[in-house]
Amino acid sequence: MNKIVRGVTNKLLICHLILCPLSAQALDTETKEDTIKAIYSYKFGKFTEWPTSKLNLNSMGFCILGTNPFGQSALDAIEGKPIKGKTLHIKFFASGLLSSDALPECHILFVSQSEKHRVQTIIDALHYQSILTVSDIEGFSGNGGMVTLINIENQIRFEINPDNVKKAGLLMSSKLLGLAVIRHNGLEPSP
Amino acid sequence: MVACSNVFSSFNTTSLIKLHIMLFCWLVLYGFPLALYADNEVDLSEMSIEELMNQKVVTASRTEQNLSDTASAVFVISQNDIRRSGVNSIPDALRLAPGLHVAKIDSSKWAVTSRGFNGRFANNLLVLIDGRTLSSSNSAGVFWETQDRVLEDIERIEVIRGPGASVWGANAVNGIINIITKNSTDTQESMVSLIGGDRNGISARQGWQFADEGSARVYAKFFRQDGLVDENGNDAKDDWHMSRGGFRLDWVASSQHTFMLQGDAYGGQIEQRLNLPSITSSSAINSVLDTADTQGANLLARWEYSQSLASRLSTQLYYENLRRDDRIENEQHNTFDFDFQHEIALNQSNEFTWGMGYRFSANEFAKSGLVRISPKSHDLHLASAFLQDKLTFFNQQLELSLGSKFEYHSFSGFEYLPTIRMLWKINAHQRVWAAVSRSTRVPSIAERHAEIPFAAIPQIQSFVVLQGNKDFKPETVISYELGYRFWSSDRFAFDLAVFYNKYDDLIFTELASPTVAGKIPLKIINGEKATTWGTEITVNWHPFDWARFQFSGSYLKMNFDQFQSSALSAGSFPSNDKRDPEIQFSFRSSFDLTSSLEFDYWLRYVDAIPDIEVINANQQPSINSYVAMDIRLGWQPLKEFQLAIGARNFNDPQHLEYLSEIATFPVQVQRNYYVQAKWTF
Repeated sequence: MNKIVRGVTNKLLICHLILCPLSAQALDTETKEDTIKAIYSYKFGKFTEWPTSKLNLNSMGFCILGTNPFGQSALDAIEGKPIKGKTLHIKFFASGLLSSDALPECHILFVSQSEKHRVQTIIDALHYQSILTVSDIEGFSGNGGMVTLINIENQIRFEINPDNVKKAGLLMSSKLLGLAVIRHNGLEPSP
Repeated sequence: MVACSNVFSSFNTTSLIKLHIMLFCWLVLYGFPLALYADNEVDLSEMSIEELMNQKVVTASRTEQNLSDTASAVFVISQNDIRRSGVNSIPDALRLAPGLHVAKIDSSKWAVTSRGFNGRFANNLLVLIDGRTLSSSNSAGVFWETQDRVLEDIERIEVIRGPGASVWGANAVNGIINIITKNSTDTQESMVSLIGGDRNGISARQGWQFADEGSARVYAKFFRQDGLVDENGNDAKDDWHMSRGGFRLDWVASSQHTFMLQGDAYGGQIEQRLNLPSITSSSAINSVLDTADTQGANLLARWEYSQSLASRLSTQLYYENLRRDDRIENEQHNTFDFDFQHEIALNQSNEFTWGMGYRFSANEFAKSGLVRISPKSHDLHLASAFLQDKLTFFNQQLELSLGSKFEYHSFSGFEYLPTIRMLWKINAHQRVWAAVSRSTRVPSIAERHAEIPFAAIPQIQSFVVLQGNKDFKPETVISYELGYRFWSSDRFAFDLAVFYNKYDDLIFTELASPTVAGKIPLKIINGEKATTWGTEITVNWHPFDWARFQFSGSYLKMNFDQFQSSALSAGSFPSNDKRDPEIQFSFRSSFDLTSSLEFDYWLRYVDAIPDIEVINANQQPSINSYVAMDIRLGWQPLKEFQLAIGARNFNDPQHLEYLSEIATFPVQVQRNYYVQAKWTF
């Protein structure tokens, strides 16, 4: 079942990322919002280039900061998946604390809703780290974050702040940026 | 309605089960097609199994954890559970949690505990609301009738069964109840709700948002509660009413600092029937009608500072004033409490938490009630510090927590309260946890300084007087716990906890030599040991998106062993044993019939407490086992409007749930019907 769901979602995601906006309802009803968000976060990584200094480990880390919002099928959909020729491993930081020695092992950082009031602290702490930050917290990419996932009438859309991506020393494919709503720090998103 | 009542009053347990099965079949047959026609919109407030398992829990270790990864027997009562259960008070909402014994004494009094030792003044349980302790060691137990909020503003109630003394301190012996209200950013809309039935009242709340940084809400609530009945169905004359108001302010001051300020004030009058001891009446009882005046106010401020990604500090201060005046006690308490906590991620696999606290309470008593405290005024100090280290091993699969609280209390001196906890993540769907902890219960002021003439012997013109003892030491407990969780996909979850507790130095009494004519003194001493063991099971089953079932059951076995038995030993009073049911079951079902129509029913079985020891009752009543069935029909025709009708104790015209330890007048709970309406705008 997972395979089928994964197959369908992968196809739809590819379709979406290249062509059309994706509707959550268009997906198999078994694919829940959390799964879509997890897969999106993983896919953004596929369209991102990290500096070579960040790629000296055998695996890539998908770090979840705060209360885990993902169900098992969402986690299964991305755990062990290939990315940049390595495999993706999920790490949990449920109490919302992330020690500095964990940072080199995190490549994608998903900031959970439970950290809503600490976004700025998190961003400040990550300042010169090449970590792709993703969250579904409202206004995340306008407040120093990189990617915000937004649920508009059951469709998952995303906002990207290219300034913050650049500051962190990451490169994001223009194809992905072309599909996103572009947002700059402190400003309303431009269409 | 009368005919209907007669039909249901003739129900026994078997026919009740039949009715239950009938309802189930009816819903599966007719509810399912209805659900098919329902809109595709799934109510987002209903949690899936995975969301249930991923709920945030902060009470167990004072740091955020997912429910599934908590190494304690934990249960979370969500806002939605409260709404769909149709309850109208916080203590009644606690019946939703497995393993808690919640019993009504009269219309305004509840006995609530977990894992034994229940009573009106049960104080083995720590109760908190937004970080403020409701059950202090100063006065025994919790006055549940004064603990309230607009129920819609409660985010969740975290219930921990078992000890939590290593982070919360003494008295978190058998459990912790942590009531957490919503952040004011989540209560922006205006709301008015009305309830009618046995309780008639109104609650109103208004929220504001100040730019991006701040939000606030204010609320007011009033209700009048009808009294219950005595064994013959006559009014027990225990009506009461309560008014309260309060506010909460949340402010995100900067990237690193958040502040919260909240306060409440309440006042009410509670009618009650008391059986006071009398040496002039041949029955030794003087049954009186009494009115309790109760009022209180509190103010709490919290400051959270995120120093870095790996370090978080929080500081909390509160002040509370509480007064109660009736024929049992006349008391006033002023409490100041300071609390500090620091969480640090030392490295990837080591999280360290430490904190300290100080509490000062000024307690005043008047010598007018049944409970006489001497000296009249007591200033108590409690200083504490705690350390906790959480280590993870084997790729985050094994978690080990070590910690202890160290306390100094005016009554008990120095205490250490250590724990060791372990969690093993077997795989994505299974957890095993185990813990060993030591905790203590600090004596209450009454246990040290009270004189309670709780019974009378008219033949010899004497009162039997319970006497506090300045040398009464804290009760201690060593708890061993084991737990297992299993959940599969989005349909099924199973939670099991087993415990074995060894209690020492439990409260006991012995006959002291009379010094004054007309008084037979019973002195409080540490005189009993006990072992208890038991188990609690919770099963969540969501066979369809529109149908959810929750089953829970608990078993408790208590064995007592007096070590201070001499010719003078007079047993424990209030008795330690025979205050708790051995077995409890709860079965709850929620159906979404259409996108706007909900149906809920809830069955509870509570075992008998056959020989509950009571003083001053006309005869020795025994608490029989009972089955209670609640049903509710909810309708939401518009986004802004909700209506619910329901019945509580639908199957039974009246039954006895519990008896108070002193001044006992047996009061029974009744079947009642209710209506609730809520507007948001």
